[in-house]
Amino acid sequence: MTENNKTRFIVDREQNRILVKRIFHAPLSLVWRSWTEAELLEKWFGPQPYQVSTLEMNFKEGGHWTYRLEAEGQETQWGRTEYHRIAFEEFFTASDLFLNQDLDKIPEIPVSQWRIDFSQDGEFTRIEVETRYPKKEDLENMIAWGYQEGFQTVMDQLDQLMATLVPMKNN
Amino acid sequence: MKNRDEKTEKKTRDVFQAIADPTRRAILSLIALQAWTPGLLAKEFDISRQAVSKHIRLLSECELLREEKRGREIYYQLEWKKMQEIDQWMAPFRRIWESRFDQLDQLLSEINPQDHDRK
Repeated sequence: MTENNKTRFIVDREQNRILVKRIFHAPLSLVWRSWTEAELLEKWFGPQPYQVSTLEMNFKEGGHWTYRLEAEGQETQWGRTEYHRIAFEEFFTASDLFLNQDLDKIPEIPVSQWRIDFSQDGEFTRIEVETRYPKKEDLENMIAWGYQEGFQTVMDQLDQLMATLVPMKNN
Repeated sequence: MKNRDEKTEKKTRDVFQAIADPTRRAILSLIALQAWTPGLLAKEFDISRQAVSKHIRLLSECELLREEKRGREIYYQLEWKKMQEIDQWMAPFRRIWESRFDQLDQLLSEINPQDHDRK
């Protein structure tokens, strides 16, 4: 596990999007499943310290995954991934929504559009996550929201996180 | 979202609100090059002088601007230290995905152990 563990971020301000790339040492079919099956998504999708539980999952075009994010000492949050286009083991596109506890969309938070691409490279699988915002302000506001909210805790845990990321430093 | 807002440090919120506005970003980029008086700054924008002062006030409340008196004029200068903090605005997004992907990596090694341990 050397540079495979490295997550790459590219901010494309021209197109209001952020690209996140990562390579996993696993077959494409498994990586695809972990993005598209609720039981597997729950095991990784919540950023530390959040735990995800599924309220509803229907992975098909026009379907959605509705989930709850919980962590001790944090306010519970709700989210929904609405699936648009799906090409099996190639890519899918989706909208990423923040919901209130009545599962209505929170109007202040812009909806970002995702495109997740999967490709096999020998025994590795490449993932590319494109997050696109409607406006430049949205991209910056969104990051500001993330900064203000519970993710402060993520920052507090930076030291801990860095310990798990140590191999990255070898590059 | 209100209650979440109140919980967080006011200053932090303001700084990010400050840069979310296009006029304020324009003011910051002008001031990054040289010190400006409020009057000269106002001339650069199509909006009223009053509106420009409002933006300037918000920016200096966020400690992004520093006032400097030269004779009778006030000049505004950029507070570089504060700007550097903003420069790390990508950090939360980055950490969210790094956190997720580390967990995904671990999950994949659990469901696919024989492949993963080989190097």
